[in-house]
Amino acid sequence: MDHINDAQNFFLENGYVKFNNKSSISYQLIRDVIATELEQYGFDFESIHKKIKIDELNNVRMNIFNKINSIKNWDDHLYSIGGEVISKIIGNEISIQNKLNFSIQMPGDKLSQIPMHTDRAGGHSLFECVLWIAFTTSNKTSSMYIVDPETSISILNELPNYELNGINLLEKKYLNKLKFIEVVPGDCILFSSNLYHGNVVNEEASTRISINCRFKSLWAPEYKKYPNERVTGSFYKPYKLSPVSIFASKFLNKEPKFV
Amino acid sequence: MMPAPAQNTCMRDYARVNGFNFRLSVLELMYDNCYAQLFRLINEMPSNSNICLYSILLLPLGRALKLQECLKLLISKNIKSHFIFEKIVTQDYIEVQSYLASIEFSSQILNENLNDIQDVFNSLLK
Repeated sequence: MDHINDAQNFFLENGYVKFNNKSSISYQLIRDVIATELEQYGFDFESIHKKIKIDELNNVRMNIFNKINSIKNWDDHLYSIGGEVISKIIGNEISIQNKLNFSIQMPGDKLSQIPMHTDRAGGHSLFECVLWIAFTTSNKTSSMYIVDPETSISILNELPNYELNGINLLEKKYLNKLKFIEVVPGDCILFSSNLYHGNVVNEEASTRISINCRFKSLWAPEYKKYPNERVTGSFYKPYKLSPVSIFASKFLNKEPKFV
Repeated sequence: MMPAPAQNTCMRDYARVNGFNFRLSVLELMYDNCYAQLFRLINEMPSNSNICLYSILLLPLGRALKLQECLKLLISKNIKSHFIFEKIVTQDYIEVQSYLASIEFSSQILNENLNDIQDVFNSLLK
């Protein structure tokens, strides 16, 4: 995105926006934490699969997940990478997912596949956006794909017809609608929770490493069906509050009681 | 039902203790009576493999046709099911069916008892 103001119009049409912030100090800091954990396997993220065995992968993934989540003020670092665009797309009062997720997709790894899905069907807020940040150059099957808004609505409508025979058939039906996003290190994709997305088995020669985290407007509706699930408290935490919200919070539960 | 992250932790630990390779867990869609992710998972699983569910109650309980279809798939693929909460590891799906039937039966008794109690109250209030 050449101009930040274009981001809003692009998002309105496509449900996502891509930008790069490789020069951010926070991006480098998170990258350094990942690199330190992967040091024993080499310094080139894209070739890391040559050293890591598949049965080691989950431990590596969990170690890095724990390390990046223990970075002091990781939420501020993340916001400093994507905040300028987030504020244009979501607004200035936001909640953030309480964990930072880590993905590593090595060539030929069939166990790390995240099939086509939409977060809103998993109980996330309709008003949520995912911030996805790449640490490698990835394209085609090594990257993630996004489905356009119109097709995402069609898939939602067709879901019940494919329940028993497998929604993987639905994925096959719309195979030509999967748009793999080409990314270079520092590329960030901010996309709506309503868009179908996912990844396939990485058939390229390089590993993809990325992180992701979710944001929503602080006051936007959440699903209440499962109160302990994807709601503020257990899944999101309030992150940016306006002065008026902070001030008003002093007046909560201060209504006079008449007898 | 226990929150999904806690279920996930139980399954990860179960896999570790029992020497299984843990792959990413699958979360069911939020819609009522929807078992799309469960069917997808079973449809994609190879024969003679293992499936782990936090509870037997995650099967299509109260949806007879979907339950039959699900059990038919598990039997045809010779899949072993691990239900962590109930501590059931089985390929005997007649056992699973009878277990589920007993759960439904007890829930019906409970409902009927509540109705009975409500009837008693209603008669007292007349």
